Amino acid sequence: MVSASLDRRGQVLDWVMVPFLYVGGGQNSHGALSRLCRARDLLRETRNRPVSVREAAREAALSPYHFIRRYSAVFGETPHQALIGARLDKAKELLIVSELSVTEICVAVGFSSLGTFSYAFSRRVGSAPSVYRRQFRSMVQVAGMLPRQLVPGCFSLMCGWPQDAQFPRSASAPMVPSCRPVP
Amino acid sequence: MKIKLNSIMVDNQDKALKFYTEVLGFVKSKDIPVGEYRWITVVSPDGNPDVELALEPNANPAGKTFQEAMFKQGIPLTAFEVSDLDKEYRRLKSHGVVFSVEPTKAGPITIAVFADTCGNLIQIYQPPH
Repeated sequence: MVSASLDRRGQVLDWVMVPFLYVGGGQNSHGALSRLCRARDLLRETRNRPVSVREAAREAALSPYHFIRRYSAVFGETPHQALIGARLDKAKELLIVSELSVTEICVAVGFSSLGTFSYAFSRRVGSAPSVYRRQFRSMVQVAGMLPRQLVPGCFSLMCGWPQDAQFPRSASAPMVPSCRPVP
Repeated sequence: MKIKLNSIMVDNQDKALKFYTEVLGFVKSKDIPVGEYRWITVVSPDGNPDVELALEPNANPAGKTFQEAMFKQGIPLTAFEVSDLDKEYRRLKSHGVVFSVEPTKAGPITIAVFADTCGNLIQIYQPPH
């Protein structure tokens, strides 16, 4: 049990909590969910080389077949969808804030084909990468202001979008934009 | 002043609405488009119709971090009351719901914890009769 809770970098992850977490016992105990979470972190890792679903399954200590089934039942999407989703999220960010070309971004986030990237991006985000970039980079980028797409959703959801779309630039200013109530 | 609204962060609102209505059995109350997202609330047909649960997007990176940390630590984000925990447990199991804590006696109550497919652990509990 203890060895199963050591992660691949050899860090003691949560084994002091094991007695507490294993309260449920059996294969559905939290230890198993914990390993699934680590597998999910691996799938979302977009900085280094792409991780395969098979490797993530190993992290979760499950066969690929059982990993896919269990992952979907717990997180509501397949490991592959999680993998692609993480890459596309990273691509969205790079399209808005970086100077890289669409092709460079495609490669940077782990797609090997521009066609596959554009298709997946369009399907998930609703517009092609270049269109998405034009749409959200047309704004003047000023230090201290966040593009609307990267502003936490709760602000716009709970408060409506602040009229001047301006975020405080100095540390002394309040951290929350002026909100108006939803009509 | 009254408590009218509780909210839970979800990673995908479509998926959440489907799970909270079709699997958990709540009923959609509001579904209002707000920009990129929607203001979605559900109510419980068994409970007080005046209390709504909002399914909020976890688009705020801080929210996402919090949600994932709680999940990793095995801590449920909210709890729903059921009158027959064993029955509810079997029903949810038959829908493929994964439990992190099987039905367990905790003092006078019985609890169980499951994953809601939207990034959260949810506790159900049966109060003493």
